[in-house]
Amino acid sequence: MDLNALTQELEQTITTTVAEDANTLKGFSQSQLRTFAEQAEYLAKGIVKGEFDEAMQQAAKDHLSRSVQNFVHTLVSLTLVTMEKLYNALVKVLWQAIGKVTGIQLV
Amino acid sequence: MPHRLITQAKLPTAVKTCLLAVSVLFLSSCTTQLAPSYHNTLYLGLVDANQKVMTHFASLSPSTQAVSCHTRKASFDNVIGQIDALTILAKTRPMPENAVIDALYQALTERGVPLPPADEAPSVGALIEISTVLKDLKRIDCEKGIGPNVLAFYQKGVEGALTRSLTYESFLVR
Repeated sequence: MDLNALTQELEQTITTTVAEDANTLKGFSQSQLRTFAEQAEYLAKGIVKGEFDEAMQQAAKDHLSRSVQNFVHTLVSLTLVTMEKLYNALVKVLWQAIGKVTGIQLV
Repeated sequence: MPHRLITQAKLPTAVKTCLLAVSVLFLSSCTTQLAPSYHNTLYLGLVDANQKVMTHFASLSPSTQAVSCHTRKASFDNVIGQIDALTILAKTRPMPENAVIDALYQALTERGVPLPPADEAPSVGALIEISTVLKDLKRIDCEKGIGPNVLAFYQKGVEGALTRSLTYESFLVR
C-alpha cells in the first residue's frame, strides 16, 4: 500500500468536499444576513411612520428572533450534511485502498 | 489449564469464511447518515409554494386597505393551506438517529445556542414561520390594512424562510 498516495488522496477528498460546500454555505449566509439587515431597516422605518403599533412591534421582533434561530439551525443542519459527506467520502477512499490490497470489495 | 491460542491457520475454513463475511458486513456498513434523505415531493412542493407565495405578495404590494380585505381572503387561504400541507409533509419525513447529532445539539444548547429538538429538520421551523407570518398578515389586512414597511418587512422574512428551506432541501441531494 502506497501510504503517501493514500494520504494525498484523503487530503484531496477533504479539500474537494469541504470547498464545494463551503462556497454554498458562504453564499447562503451572506444572503440571509442581508435579508435580516433589510428587515431591520423596514421595521425601523415602519415604527417611525407609525405602521407598527405596540403589539405589532413585539410580533415583528419575535418573528425576527425566530428567523435568526431558524437560520442558525439551518447552518448547523447544513454543516451536518457536509460532515456526513466528508466522513463517507473518506471511508470510501480507505475501503477502496484496502480492497486493492486484499481483493475484497468493501464498498 | 492454560489458555490455548488458536491461530488463524488452525481455524476451520467455514469459521474463516464466517469471520470474513461478518468483517465485510461490518466494514461496508461503516458509512453514516447525519441528515434525512432527500424528499423530492417536498422539494417540488417548496418550489411551487415559492412561486405562489411570491405571487401573493406581489398582489398585496405596495400596501393594502382594510376595506377591501375580503377580496384577498381566498389568496391568503390558498397559500396558508399549501404551506401548512408542506409542513405536515416535512414533519412526517423520518430523521436519522445518531449519537453524533445528539452530542452536537447538546453541546450547542448548553452553550446557549437555541435549537429545536434534534429530530426536527430546519425546513419545518421555516415553514411554520411562513405560515405564522401569512396568518398575521391576513389578520392585519382586515384590521387596519398592511402598510408598505410592514409588507416589505414580512415579505423579506418569508423570502428568507423559503430560501432556508429550499437551500436545505436541495443540499440533501448527495
